[in-house]
Amino acid sequence: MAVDRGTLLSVEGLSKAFHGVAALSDVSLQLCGGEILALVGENGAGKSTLIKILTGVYAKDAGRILLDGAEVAPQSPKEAFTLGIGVIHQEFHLVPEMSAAENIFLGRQPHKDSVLGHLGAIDKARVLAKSQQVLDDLGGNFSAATPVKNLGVGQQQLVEIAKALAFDARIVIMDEPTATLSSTDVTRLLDTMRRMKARGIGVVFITHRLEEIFRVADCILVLRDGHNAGGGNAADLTMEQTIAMMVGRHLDKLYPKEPAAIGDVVLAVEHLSRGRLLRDLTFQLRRGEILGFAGLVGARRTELMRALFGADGDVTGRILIDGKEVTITGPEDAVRHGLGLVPEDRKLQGLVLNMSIETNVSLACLPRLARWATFVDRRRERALTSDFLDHLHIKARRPDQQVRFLSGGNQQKVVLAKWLALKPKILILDEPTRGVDVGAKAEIHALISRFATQGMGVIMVSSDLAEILGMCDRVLVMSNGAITGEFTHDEATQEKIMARAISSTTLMRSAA
Amino acid sequence: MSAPALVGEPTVLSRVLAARELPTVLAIVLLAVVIAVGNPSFLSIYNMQLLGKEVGVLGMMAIGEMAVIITGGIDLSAGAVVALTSVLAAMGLRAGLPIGLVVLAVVAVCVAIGAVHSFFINSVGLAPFIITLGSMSIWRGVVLVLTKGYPVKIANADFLMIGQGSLLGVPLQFILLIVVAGIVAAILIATPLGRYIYTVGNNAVATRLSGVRVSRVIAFTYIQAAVLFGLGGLVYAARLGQGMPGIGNGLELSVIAAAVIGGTSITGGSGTVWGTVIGAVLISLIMNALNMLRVSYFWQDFVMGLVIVLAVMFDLLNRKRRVSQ
Amino acid sequence: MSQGPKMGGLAMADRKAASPSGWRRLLHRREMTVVYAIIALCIIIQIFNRNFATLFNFQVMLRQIAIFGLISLGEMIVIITAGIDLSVGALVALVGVVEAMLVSRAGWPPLLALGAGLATAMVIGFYHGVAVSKWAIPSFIITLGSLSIWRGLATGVTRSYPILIADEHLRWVGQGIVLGVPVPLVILAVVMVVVSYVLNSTSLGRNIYAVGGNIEAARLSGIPVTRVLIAAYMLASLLVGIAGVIVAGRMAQGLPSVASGYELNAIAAAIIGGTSFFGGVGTVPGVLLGAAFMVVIDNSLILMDVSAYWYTLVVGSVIVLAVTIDVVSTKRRRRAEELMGV
Repeated sequence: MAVDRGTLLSVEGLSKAFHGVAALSDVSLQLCGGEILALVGENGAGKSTLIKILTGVYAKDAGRILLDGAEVAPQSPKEAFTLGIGVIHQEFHLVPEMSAAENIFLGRQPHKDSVLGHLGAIDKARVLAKSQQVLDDLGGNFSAATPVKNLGVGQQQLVEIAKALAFDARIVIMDEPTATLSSTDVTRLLDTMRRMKARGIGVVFITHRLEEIFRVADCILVLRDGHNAGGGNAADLTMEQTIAMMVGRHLDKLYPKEPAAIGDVVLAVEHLSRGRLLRDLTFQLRRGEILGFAGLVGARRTELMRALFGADGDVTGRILIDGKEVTITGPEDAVRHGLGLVPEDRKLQGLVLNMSIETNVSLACLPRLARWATFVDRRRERALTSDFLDHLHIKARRPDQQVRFLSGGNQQKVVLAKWLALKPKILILDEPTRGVDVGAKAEIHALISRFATQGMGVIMVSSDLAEILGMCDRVLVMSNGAITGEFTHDEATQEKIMARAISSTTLMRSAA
Repeated sequence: MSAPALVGEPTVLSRVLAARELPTVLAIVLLAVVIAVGNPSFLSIYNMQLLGKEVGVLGMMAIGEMAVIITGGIDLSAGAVVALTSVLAAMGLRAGLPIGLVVLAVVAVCVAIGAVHSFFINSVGLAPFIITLGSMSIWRGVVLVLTKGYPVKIANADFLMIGQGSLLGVPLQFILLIVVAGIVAAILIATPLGRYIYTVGNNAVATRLSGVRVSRVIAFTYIQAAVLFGLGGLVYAARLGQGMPGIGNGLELSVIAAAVIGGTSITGGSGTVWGTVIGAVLISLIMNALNMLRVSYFWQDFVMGLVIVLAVMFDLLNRKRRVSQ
Repeated sequence: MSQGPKMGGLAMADRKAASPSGWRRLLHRREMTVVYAIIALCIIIQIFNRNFATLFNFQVMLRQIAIFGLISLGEMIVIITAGIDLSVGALVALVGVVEAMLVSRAGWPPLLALGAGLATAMVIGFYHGVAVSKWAIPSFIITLGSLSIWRGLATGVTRSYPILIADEHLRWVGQGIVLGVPVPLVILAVVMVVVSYVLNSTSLGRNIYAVGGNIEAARLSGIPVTRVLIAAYMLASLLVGIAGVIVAGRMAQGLPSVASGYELNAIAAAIIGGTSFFGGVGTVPGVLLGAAFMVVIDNSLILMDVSAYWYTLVVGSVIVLAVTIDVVSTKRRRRAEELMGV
């Protein structure tokens, strides 16, 4: 590290908990001006919580943040920005019809030095000149007057970066900036980062693509389960060491997985594609099998599950259930063919929060509860719900209580009940235990295990490697919309999975 | 000492007091008293029958509108459809077609209108208010072209009975309302489709991901709304004795107002047939009050607009308060 | 109603960005289509009826364009914020009635009465803006109510009788001529220049586009969204108020039944002129062309001896067609973006 660069940002002992669950414990970070620090960790390691505290979205519980040696505690994103901390999110916040220059100066337009200026007239010349200068400094090759909607993704990202730099941000945090970029754009972005570095800006670069890190970062900091898990100069570390730090936790938890008889292939997917999102996916699922899907941000696992379930259009390829090809144009087809989906976002996509447990449980099987296919048999509905409340140990006061009052774990059980009522052949679970307390987690794992023993084919998308290793018979690893690895339960280790998750080499697979 | 079966189990009285419709019912009673004091002929049989007719038609159409609003949509074409169907019916009767055929034809036209609305909303992706706004303009235009602005007289006495007849003193229109209310309530409360209408309004995404064909649910609401509007048009034609291209101007507002006052949230997800009928009663009462209290009829539009804005504001405020509890 | 767009780029990531003059060329293309349509329509009408291309007829149309243009500009501003105003016609009537009552019945000086009319419009704009931004009431329902309230107010206060305006100054606003040009057109020209300037070159104007184009981005950039929305609605209503004063002057009376159905016209003009329902898009010249188009259609129906009753039908169809095109093309673009993985 250069000797004359002072410590720009220093974080000491940062801690933050949500509802009693620790997201960050005693985390430290050092960043010098003109330095690129790569922040790595799995999903849920605490990276985004750390960033949100630095940018004023959350308030810390404990610890200190020092900027140039002076303690700061930003209370809002605006305050963080005034302090010189800029952040580039994964999702851009640009107005598409406006030019790059206007977007850069959005809400902060400089005014003319005239009477009109006092009434709000914008000094357009200054806006254009300054924004063009910033963009050029970043290596952009386009005019600042171009409407953002006409720019490529990489160029739009430059505009986002320029937004921060135009107002003299000294620290720029980039959250998974390369997740959606082509390789050419990635190269350009890394070049831009070097330019920022040359101007003395401190860059925090969150990514899981380790190859990129080793091309451009000066230092690496690894977070794991909310703690510091290691780090150092990039020059002194290897990729294997970094992976080991990312996942090197002691796996001592026992998962309640019972052995299940694995039968015939119930679901076969061949060459499934969707634009650039999903690329030529082929795999099989057997009865009684729990198939895990591991991967990091941008792997597109949820997109795959939605495509299987018919939730999105523009899907090509074949889906075969019990050997017969099926056409799935919408979720109703998927359900008819015996599929069920427990979505990643249960509150927005899995449950109707304002309505009762009963209504949610019967939502998918309502016609079956109807006499003469017309009138819903309320007694049967009530009995069904009570049954599930019992068997799944759902803690609720009454069956007609609104679902939004239940805890996360109990809400998830209601979603499970909805699908169990249909006795599906294939159940897809997307992050089934996210936001669920420890006790309910164990119960849900036990339930999933039971589904498998009863002959259901289970697909489990999870970012919890321990869960994947503990529960799945087989693991498929995805990265950037393609399958990059496959392991049996015995073969799989956290390091192997992570190595495939950060890779971009697609695994060649056959349809057999 | 005996404790209630479940802690917090609501008693009958507390249920009544908490009923969403309570303020509206109170307003109705209050208003009725005020009118009766101001003009005792309010309580006459004639006026009660008049009120019954108004409530009958308005209530029926408001029920149609309610189902649309519950799913999160809106239908601004009520007035235009009423004008269209009244004119079509009049023209059909004038051409000598039997009543049954005319009614069937009108219903068929309404089904088509509802289908067009839902096509643009489901497949093309237009916002409900803009397609029904454009639609409103188109049907009014069609009516104007067909009639050149002139009303079409109806001579068929049997048909006119619909508008002017009564059973045991209760106007036929009110009975029609009761029948429609019963059917729609049954659908909403007891059938899967009715259940889906509510779940779509509360969370369309989750409903779709549970395997429900949301587009069909939405199509049903727009079609039944158009049909109920069309029946309203037939009743108006029978009552007035003619099909008029100009009727129903501003009717869409009254229909929406009745639904909202009756507890249907403008943002979707809630509403009951019973509440909507009460809303229709209040709206009709307000109109009746303006007449009875000899308030210049030129103020009608003003009052109607005010009522709906207040109703929506009151509803949204209530909702905010309920969520924060 | 606001459907903030997801971000992303078109086509290939390596696509070279279009130069600014190229962008202006693109815009010209959209507006030129409307110009061509107008010209084509004019030629067709002239074939059917020689009286079309007369000075008298053009003067009639120009005055109408002045009025419709102002109302459409007001509507455009609201649609840019991803809202809608269904009450513009009613507001025109109310402003005229207010002005007429104050000057003829209450004996106010004409300038003050005119000012009061405009102030009424701005107060109403304020109310709409607050309802939409602070109380989160959908714009279509609040302005639907307004439609009845303002017209009802005008009708109730006047008992549906027009109120004569004898004052020559107020009449001049609608009927006068300055250097050979009708006053309403002069007013329109001035308004166009001012509004164009505000929308394109001031913070308020750019913020209005930002709020409509991507409300989240606007909020995150520190733009005071509530204030911007209220200002937008007030500005829009002011423009409609100016139209109301012109109409009252032209007819020399405050007429509570005037401008019925103008809102549909205004919406059609705005959409044809390139204003998008998704918000964030719309230009002054485009909307003016749209208003001109609607006026020519209206004129054509009269001159081609087509029953004027077709007008309502035509306007409704135009709205549905124009909005469909807008929605379909935007959805297509977003779908392509999504499939690119953005």
